[in-house]
Amino acid sequence: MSTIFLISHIVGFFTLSILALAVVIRNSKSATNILFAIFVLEFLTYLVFNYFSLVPGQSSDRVLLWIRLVMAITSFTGPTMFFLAYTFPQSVLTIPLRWIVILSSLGLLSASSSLTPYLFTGITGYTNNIVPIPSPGPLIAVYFLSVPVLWLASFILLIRKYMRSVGVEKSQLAYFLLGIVINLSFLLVLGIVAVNILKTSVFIPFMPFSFVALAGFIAYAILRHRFLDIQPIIARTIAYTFLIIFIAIIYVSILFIGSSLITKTPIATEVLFVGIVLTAVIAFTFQPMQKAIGKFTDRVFFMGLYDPEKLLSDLSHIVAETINFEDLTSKLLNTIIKEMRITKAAFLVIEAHRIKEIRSVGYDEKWLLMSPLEAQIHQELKSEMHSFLFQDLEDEAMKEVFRKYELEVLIPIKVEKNEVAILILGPKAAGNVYSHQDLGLLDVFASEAGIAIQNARLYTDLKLASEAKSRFVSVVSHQLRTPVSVIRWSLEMLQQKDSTTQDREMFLNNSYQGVIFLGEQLDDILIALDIYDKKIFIKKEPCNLNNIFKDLVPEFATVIKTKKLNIQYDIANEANVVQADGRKLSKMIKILIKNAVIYSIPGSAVKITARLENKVGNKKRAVITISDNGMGITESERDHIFEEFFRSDKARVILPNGLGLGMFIAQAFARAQEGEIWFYSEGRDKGADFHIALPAE
Amino acid sequence: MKVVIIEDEENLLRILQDKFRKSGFEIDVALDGEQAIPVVERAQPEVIILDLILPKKSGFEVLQLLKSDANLKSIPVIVLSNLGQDEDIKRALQLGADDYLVKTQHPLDEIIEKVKNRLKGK
Repeated sequence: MSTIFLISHIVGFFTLSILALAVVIRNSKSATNILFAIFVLEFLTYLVFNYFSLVPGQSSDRVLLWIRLVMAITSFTGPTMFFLAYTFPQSVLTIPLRWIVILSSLGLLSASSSLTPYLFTGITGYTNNIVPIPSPGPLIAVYFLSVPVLWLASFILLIRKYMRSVGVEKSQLAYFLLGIVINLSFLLVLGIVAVNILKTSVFIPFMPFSFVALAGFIAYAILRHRFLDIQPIIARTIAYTFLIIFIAIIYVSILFIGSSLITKTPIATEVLFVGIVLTAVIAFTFQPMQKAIGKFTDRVFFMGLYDPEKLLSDLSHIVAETINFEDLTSKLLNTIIKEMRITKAAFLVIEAHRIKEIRSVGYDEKWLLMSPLEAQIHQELKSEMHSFLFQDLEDEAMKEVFRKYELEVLIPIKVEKNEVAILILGPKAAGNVYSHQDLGLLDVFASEAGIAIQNARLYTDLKLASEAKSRFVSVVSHQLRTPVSVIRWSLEMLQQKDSTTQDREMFLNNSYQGVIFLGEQLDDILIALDIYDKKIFIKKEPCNLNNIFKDLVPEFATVIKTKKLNIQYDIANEANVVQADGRKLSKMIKILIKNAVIYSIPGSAVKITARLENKVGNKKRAVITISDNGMGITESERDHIFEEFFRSDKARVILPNGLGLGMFIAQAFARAQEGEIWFYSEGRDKGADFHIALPAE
Repeated sequence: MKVVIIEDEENLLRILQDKFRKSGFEIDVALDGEQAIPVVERAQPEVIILDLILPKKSGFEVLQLLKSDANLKSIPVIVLSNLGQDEDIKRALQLGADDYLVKTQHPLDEIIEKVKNRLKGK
């Protein structure tokens, strides 16, 4: 028993000293910190006296002396506690002076009377193995006033402060109160209930820990209050305490019953104590041990493991601080690839239920666009799209697509139920499959990324639009000035009296052509502006291709005649009627015929054909083709044909004043009618075939 | 009076040729940027009329070549273009253009007068 006393007192002594030191070092000028240190100092002294009072084999006089010293030093804890409760958590002392004087005097009176026989007259029931129980004298009332009453007053004071405070201070006060509650319950159960009612002193050695708990909670309130939320701490502390008590009781009971049954002799108290301590140790170390072992095994057995919290926080940072679309997507993809250890990933950017753009790391962008995946995705986009995981797929066709393009996961990124992008991920580098945890994490990310991707796209679109606008103004102003100057100077020449009839005819014709040209240019510019503003509205109706060609071709009669071009028609009957916006279809065909006629070499043929074609899903479409034997399209020009204002050098030579809006308009019109436009050319001076495909009905 | 007109738009060129001829100029023409330098070298004109948007080599490049050639840089170059934005004008003048005229802003008579004045001042 004495060994246990010694151990518990030494442990208590050191723990308390460390707590006091930590608090004083943090801020040695704060009144709260200093009062706390004084408070702990009183407990330290108490522990020393208390230990000596419990050393067995002493004369009862000596024990009585130690007990009186214990009472003397604890007399001061009441006033100190009150001062601390009053000041906490401020750093300035605000207690009224008379209170300090009155309460300190009370403490002093109680302490000095503790040393006289009037507080404790003697000891009863003292034998070698039982804790001494002193018999109270008349002055016990002073002690009662100085300690329990003041503690109660402090407790009430703290509760009142707690009710009034908010925020951090409230949580600090909560710690303080929790410390007192735990301390008092310990004292009540171990000291009074156990000793006086159960008549056992087994738990007396644990008494120092009640003060450690109290000081620990106050110190924590002073030092660390900012770092943790109070509620989980309270909940965990209570849960742990109950758990440990519960386990300890079961453990001790089993030991006690087991040993009694086997050896027929009761187990030694020391063994029981060691058992309880071990139980406590196991209880406290279980969680950290489990974590450490988990980490170790993860590292050894699961190479592909990553920290989901870190990944999410990294992605959130990128989403929050990147506005440029290209930066945003490449940073997000690279982070996902790096942290989840994936081989490749891509964003399919969706606009109006179509793939508008692909941003990829590892995938071939063009190849993804041409793949049946696109059709599959369009199909999916029409219904409500969900995340796909390769291993969860049941549809064999879909599985085949996933396998072919090395897609493991497909996650729609939505804003208000509209898809703005689809995140696709390739296989993991370590070869392991995607877990539902991965999917869950990516779903959380998808909900954050949607708005960021949309904003970044809007931002980029705005920037591009502003650049395009200034380019537009510059090109257009130049191109409009040219016919204006032709008209102006021709008219000036006409005004001159010395010009011949032949000259006058030429200048008149120049002016007339200039005005026509100007009108056409203006039309194209206005259409281009509508395309920029997305104001192309389609009104579909059945359109007869033969009629369109018959109306259009005569417009180019002069050029056809001077260049001796041979226009050939080959319109399949079943393709003669297409569903389209008549005016827009006519404009598109006009653009293509005009280009074919203008850029053809003299004496060659221009072929106009139309046929019906089956597309994916058994849908029929009409394909109109206009082929010429003209200047053709070089490799380097290919990617720019549909750009606004693009004109090849050769085209500039043949027709210097074109605006370069024709193909841009044709493409926009084709797309607006759910059609397509594309071309084929073997190169410079090898002619070109232009195709328009439109849904036929 | 000898002038080289560098202009790719046929209608405009025809008018300019007509006007300059009637005003007593001897004319050589270049239809793109690449032809420009050889034509100027051969013709050795007293003044050059230069358009800026030209096929093959832009008027700015032609201007730069003219002004960096020791034999040609003394010939005055009058830019006659439909580029009318401040940065185009500034750029042409920085490259050494002697005058800058926006086509739509000047009657032909005024252009002839400016060219003649330039030659008198020389």
